[in-house]
Amino acid sequence: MVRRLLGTAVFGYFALFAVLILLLGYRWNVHRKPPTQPIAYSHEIHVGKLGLKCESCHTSVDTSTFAGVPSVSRCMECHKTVLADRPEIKKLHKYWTDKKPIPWNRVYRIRIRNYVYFSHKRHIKAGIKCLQCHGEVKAMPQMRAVRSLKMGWCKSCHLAHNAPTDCLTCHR
Amino acid sequence: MDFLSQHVIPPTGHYMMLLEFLAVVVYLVHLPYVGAVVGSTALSMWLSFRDREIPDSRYSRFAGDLVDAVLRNKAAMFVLGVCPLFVLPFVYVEWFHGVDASPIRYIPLVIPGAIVGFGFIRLYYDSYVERRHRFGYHMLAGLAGIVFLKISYFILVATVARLHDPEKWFRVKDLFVMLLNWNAIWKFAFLVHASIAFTGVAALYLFFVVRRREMQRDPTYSLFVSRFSAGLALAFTFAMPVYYLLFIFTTPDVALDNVIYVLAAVVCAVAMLIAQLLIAVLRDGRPRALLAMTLFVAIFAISSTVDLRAMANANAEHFHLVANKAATAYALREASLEARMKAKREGLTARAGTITASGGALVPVGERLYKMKGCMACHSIDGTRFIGPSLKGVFGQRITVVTDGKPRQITVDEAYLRKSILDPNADIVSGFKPLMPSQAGIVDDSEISALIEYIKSLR
Repeated sequence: MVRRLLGTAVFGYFALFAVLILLLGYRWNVHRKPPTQPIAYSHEIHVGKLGLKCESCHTSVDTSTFAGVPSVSRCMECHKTVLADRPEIKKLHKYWTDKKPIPWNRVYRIRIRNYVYFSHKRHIKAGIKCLQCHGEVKAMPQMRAVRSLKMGWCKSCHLAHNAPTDCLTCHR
Repeated sequence: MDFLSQHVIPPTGHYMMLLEFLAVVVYLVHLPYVGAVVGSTALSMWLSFRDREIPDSRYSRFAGDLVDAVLRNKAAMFVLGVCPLFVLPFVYVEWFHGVDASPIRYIPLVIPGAIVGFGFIRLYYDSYVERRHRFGYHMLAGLAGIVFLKISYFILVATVARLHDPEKWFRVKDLFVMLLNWNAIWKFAFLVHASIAFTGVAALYLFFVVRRREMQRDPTYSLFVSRFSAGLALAFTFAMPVYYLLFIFTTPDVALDNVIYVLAAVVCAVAMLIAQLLIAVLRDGRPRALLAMTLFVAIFAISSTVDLRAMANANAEHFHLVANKAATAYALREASLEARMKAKREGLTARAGTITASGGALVPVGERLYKMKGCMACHSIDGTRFIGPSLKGVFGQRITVVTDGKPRQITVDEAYLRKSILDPNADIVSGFKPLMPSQAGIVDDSEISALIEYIKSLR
């Protein structure tokens, strides 16, 4: 009987850790991994191979708090004819004809909670380059957040650049 | 480690996968051995100390046999302990080619530290026979060996752990900041515990597989050895999943993926099998050494794979860029090599490096660039009008371009093509919009030459 109990205890002990690890994995899957997007847009092709600049699509990055995502018409400027037979481009055409915006899944805003104020305009005006926070976008086939966007990370950069670290700067 | 960067070639995608395999093999050969060395040194030190306090012939015999089994072979110490240390810096420099802020600059520190550590372990081994007269010296040698080896491997583990977290590299200004990292601490704790557990299993293997006859002659001693080793291994096997959970928990999101979580759960399962096996050994004394060894090697292999995968995930973009650069560099190098061989065949004398690729040899390179750099998205090669003019037959053609708002006739030549790639909106082909972005910085001069050769070939 003791033998059985011991066997079960050992099994339970290791199984507990395996389950905890798998639960962590589930959490990562749901909240932390790069989200799938309605159209498999690849920054690697458009920025890496074609050389498009960030601000040519994310136009309000230096005039507003948010950087903005291009409207469907911007995509259609090239894709009315370019590679129009591809399945992903066909999805784009469908959004165009239905006159609906593409429901992109947020990659960065979910990490900075709604109670944190962040202004792109201020950071661009301070001379921060896009790739310092967003990483090498031109090598990403799928957009992902490469910085943790934790408060400690923001604060370290603010301290290095003599930017305000007062609470009310971001927690408005 | 900039001096090393000059001696390694940037790896292509396939080469990087091969390096990953090589790194797993090197870690698999090296880390268990170092673990066994440190573990058996520590264990024999403790056993000798205990025997000195309360004489126990089993303890002193076991300590002596352990030292003899693990530490005697100098060749093994050199091949398994020292040689792999020289492979690792080269492997990491290949991966992080061109990155100057990465923590890999601390990896070479491991080499002298480990060599000194192994030196002290040799002193410990050599002074074993006379330990009763020179006890302090003997113990000090063992302690120094363990301390040097442990510090060196902490540096290695901390460096490798930092590679998973590129956003913090700018903070690593010195060695101490690099070492203060929870991920590194849990990883190192895991390594230490796995090593001590492995020492127990290695003892089982060395005594009951390699020295089987000797053990069979003395059943009492044999029972003692099997139970002691299994008990030691068991105690630390229980600690392993705790540290695994903690180090997965402290790994940044950017380095994780589903496969890593699954592999970590598999490690817990394998650890459970080892625990049950060791309990059986404790119960009846039958060593089951081969199975225990196999399972342990599996845990080390999986752990190395997990670690390297996490590093690849966190640095995916960098590896991608290096592989792309390498691919073009290789293509150009091959084209130039072919040109040189062709010149040799045709009887021309060629001094190395004076003939660069030209003409026909560049056409396949140009074709590759046409696809890779995205020209094909807007310029067809079969006459179809896309958003940009087709490239079929364009070289030598007479076309109308609009320069500063005024149309004029020109013949398409090399100069025009070169200008159009670098400053496309200067001379727009009439009937097309000024939409092409400049390719300056995306293609260099030799790549533009390759593209021009390709365009020339499109009749």
